[in-house]
Amino acid sequence: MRTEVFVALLVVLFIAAVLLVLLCYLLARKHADNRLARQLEQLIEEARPAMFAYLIHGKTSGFLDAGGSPVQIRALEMLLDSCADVMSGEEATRRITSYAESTFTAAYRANLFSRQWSIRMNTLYRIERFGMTGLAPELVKLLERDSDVSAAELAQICKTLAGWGDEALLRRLKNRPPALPEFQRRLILSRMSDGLFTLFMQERVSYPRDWQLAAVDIVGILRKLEHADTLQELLGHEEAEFRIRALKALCELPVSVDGDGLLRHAESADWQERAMAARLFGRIRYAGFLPSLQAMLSDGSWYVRSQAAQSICAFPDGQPLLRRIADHSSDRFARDMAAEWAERGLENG
Amino acid sequence: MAEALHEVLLWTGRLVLGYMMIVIGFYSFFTVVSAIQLRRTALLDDNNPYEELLDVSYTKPISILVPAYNEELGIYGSVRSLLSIHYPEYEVIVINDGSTDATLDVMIDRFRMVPVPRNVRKVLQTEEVRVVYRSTLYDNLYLLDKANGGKADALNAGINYASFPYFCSLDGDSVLERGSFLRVMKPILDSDGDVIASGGSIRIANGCTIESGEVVRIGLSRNPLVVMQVIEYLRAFLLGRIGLSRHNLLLIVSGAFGVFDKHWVVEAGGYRRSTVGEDMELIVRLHRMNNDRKLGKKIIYIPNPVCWTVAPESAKYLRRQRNRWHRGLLESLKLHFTMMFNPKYGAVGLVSMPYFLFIELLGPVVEGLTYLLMAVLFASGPTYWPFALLLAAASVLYGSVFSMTAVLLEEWSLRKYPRLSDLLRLFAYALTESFWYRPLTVWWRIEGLLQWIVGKRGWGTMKRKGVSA
Repeated sequence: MRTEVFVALLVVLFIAAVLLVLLCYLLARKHADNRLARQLEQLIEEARPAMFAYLIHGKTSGFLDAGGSPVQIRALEMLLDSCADVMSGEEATRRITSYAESTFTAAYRANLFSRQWSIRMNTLYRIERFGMTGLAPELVKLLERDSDVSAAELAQICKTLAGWGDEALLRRLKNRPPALPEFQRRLILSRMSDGLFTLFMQERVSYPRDWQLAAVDIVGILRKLEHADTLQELLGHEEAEFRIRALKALCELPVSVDGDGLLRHAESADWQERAMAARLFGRIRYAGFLPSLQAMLSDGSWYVRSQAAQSICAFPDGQPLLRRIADHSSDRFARDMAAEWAERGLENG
Repeated sequence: MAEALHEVLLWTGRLVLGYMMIVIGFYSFFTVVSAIQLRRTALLDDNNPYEELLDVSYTKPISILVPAYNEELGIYGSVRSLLSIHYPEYEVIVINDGSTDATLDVMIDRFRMVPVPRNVRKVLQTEEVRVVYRSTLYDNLYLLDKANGGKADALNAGINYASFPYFCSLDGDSVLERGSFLRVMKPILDSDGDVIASGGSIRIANGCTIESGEVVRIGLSRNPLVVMQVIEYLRAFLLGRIGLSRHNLLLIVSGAFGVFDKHWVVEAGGYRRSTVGEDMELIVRLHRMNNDRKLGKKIIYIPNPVCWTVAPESAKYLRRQRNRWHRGLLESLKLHFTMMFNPKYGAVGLVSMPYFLFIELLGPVVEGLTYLLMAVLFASGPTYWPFALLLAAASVLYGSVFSMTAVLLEEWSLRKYPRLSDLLRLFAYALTESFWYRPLTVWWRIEGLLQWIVGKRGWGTMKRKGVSA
């Protein structure tokens, strides 16, 4: 046989072998997956009545011992997870935690250090979901480590510890703030227990600027009235970004704000500050704001004009006013915007 | 003379072999990158990371743009499915691009739409928008009725009217999974705005059971053309794009499902009107702007969010689609040819552009020439059959290895064909690809190039079946 034929034959056989192995693996895997799914389903069905009896009535007879096989643990985990979806109330939550701690702690402690990222992530989610505070020391240990912990894990650990009011989180944020995106910062702050958040706000200037700004947002989003004074104080902040966020947060809070004092924000050089001021004016609906809002209908920024029109619309006789502006204003931009909102206001009732 | 011919043939053969080695090298590299990536997230519980995004205070609202040209059959179903997606705040803007059928009436009628005044900042030039409608049933549903200007023009009009910072372009004949938007937006939020475009996977809906705008059971079509497209899509998305995306080399975010940062798209000038490959052309332009201005932005693909789309079931429409795709590819590469091999554009100029030129665009030409060469060789003299057959077997099998690896990666992802028989059928079809499907698509793509050379530029008509069968 010529050499090239021999080589070609080897290549063909090799590729065919790879293909065959792939096919066998795929078939075996599909078969095993389908079998595992059936097995889990069966185990879950068997355990369900006893689980409900325990969670609702506290009856501990029957199933509670997981037996230790990974499939059984997985089935109980899935079952408990689905129960956590539908059950609420202090007693049920306490039982879910107590069951999870007695059944999964050992497995989770090992999983937290698994080599596979997705296993570590799933475990972190479950620890939070089942409220397994007994594992807090492990989480703190991970929080204080820098290597081998991905940003996603770090964010999840922070969120969990925030919910548990663990002060180790504040230490980390202050000393070595993790590089997390804005929405994660907000989520972490929003999960903080009231006590922890108050501690944060008391020392807010000692945290990085990004975290301070996110905290201002959270005061508005979660309507944390007890921190309204801080927002008012921030309206005088030298940096526009703080003033903008404070104005935005104040739009969400039912507190009285010094109306005339706010007028200067309508004159700001920053269009975002003007737009936020316009929005707040619409929330407060103080008649003294109307001239300023009318002037903002001719603002150079589309957003400010749009916001001003919306805010005028929110005043008791805002719609007729918009109509008049639409008909008589000498400024084309003001006319167009007023016309749109006069109409939209009607649609929205 | 015969000797000279022999020499030419020999060298051509060597060139083709070298070319094939490079192609195989590329694909193998991307396959390994994809496999590592998918394996890492394979066991991740799917719902956990997204629940928290359901609060609008933490998410960014999206405008969903649906350009519609003569989609009277499918438009109601797809808009209906969009109105029930899982996302905290969004608006749907359907752009009727001068349809000549009843698209406009269907929309107005079924969603009780009424004209409303709406001021916009006209940041992109488009054909005239005649009337803006708003649904009286759904506050977040709008309809623009505009003069015909093509898909890119319709999308630009949609961008002008979009009120939110991110927009998603969506084909009128596709079905989105409910959680898709959360998944496609997560990396944008995670990057604090560094990701300016993010695209999900497109999968083929033919054969799946769809009920009220949702895929309730994944199934494999009985139509051989569709099964081959299934394999093709798996290969393109799971093998190719994960690897390209990881190194910010992606030149395509599918027009059927992608989310874009409106600010940067407007900065780049919006969709280009005079091309059939407007989705790719925009991505190339975004890369160009990114490099020109050193913005450090990224364009990514995420395998998990899935948009189901109806694939052509007949050779006639599949052929038109492939003709068009190839012309689009050619136009995008031609328009931005100065980026090719240009170190100023980093990896995009040095790797992506040449990859798309030599492998994606010229691949069919090389493949077509190879078929021709083989024919000439067989005709011109005695063939050493054992060797020829073995080479043929090797090329058939190696193609199937990539196809089956794509199926394997699909197994590691979250949406799987549930039955063993599906796997076997995919395998069997993958083995036959080289004998019929591959030569067909090679020819259709060459045909696309020829059409472009003779000056054909338009879209050609597509027959829509609609998704809510």
